[in-house]
Amino acid sequence: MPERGGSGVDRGFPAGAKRFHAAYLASFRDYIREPCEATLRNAYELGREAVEDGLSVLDLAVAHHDGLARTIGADIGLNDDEALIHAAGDFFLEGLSSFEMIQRGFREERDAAALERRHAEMGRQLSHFLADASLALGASGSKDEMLRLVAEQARELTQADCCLVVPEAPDEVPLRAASHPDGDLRWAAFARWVDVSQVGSVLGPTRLTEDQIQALRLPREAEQNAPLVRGWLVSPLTALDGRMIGSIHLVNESDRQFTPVDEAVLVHLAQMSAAALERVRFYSSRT
Amino acid sequence: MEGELRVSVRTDADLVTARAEGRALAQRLGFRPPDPTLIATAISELARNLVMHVGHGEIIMRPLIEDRRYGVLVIVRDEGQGIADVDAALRLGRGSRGGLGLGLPGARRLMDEFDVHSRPGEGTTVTMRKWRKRDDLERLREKRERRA
Repeated sequence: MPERGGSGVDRGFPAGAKRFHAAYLASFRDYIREPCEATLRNAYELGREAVEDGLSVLDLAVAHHDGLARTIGADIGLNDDEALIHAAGDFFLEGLSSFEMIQRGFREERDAAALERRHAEMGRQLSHFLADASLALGASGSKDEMLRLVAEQARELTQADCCLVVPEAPDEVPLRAASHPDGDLRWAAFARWVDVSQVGSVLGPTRLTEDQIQALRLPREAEQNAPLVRGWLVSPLTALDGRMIGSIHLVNESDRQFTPVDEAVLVHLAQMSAAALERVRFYSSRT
Repeated sequence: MEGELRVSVRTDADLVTARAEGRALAQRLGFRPPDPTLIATAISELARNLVMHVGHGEIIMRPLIEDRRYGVLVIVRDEGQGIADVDAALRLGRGSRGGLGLGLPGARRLMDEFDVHSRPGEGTTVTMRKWRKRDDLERLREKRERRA
């Protein structure tokens, strides 16, 4: 029976692609005649060869289409169309797997580039924070302003849902500063009422475990419609002489887990904040 | 261990055996396309390394059965010269065509967990796993089958 369908090999493709098409057709027919791991392996080798030779996934698709078109109806001992379609799919998938390795590599590179950009943005924002903190020092109520700035910066830098900055001494005014989505009453109630002393004192940045988060209890005022907290990252605010002067809490309702990068940012911000707060205390005591 | 498979790899023909065993194990554990293909490809990449760069080695495959998931564990080990710079090999691969993203880094990207232990002169052991979720319905069915 004469072959029908595509004739990609004769369409004026470059020599490399023509050779690839011919090899693909031969291997494809071997697999259709005798579907087994040894003949399927040839598809994997062809995909690998295509990657090494700089062919694109479209070249593979064209070779596959031509191979299939030239095999349908050809007298190669397979008369079951459904079996042919399944076998063709398996063969094509095998060829694509090498491209999948490369594609995943591109994705990794893209994610790494996005992380780099995020780091650069964080550096820029931390610089702004330093400038804003300097301005806050000259304003009245500068401690309020400072705590608010810290909460806003920490939330913005880590993209957390909520940030609480809590001074250590219980008689401190303000008791705490919070940053959360504007107008979100659930987070507002949470930020106002949650007792962060349940977290305990920490010596360094600490991500609470799922069990620790579930063990935290909210007072009745905040329980209704409370956010379903899934992530909690806390860092101490430590003065230069080692005194604990407070803590910063980042809280997430979303699935996004806090990362080591978030931890590093929070530590950096906590160090700068502690120094700025100590300066506020120093200037307040002089005036 | 129950269900453990071992394939000694020296030649291209052994590579085919390793691929077939890995694919069959994944299919027995209910992995759906394209996962069996990806597992077979990851095994192929490491088996190629054994044949091309070391000469011979062994591939061990085991089913992993946990309450909430099934997995395929693949251990590829050799007693060759080892890899001097594992990080570079994971980035660029071991061969002269390094940098394309095939080989060791390619296999890593296809699997869920990947660990390389290697010291110069002491060989290399690559341990990799791929998982799939085991849903509630599946667990109930299995419990019922066991009772019956």
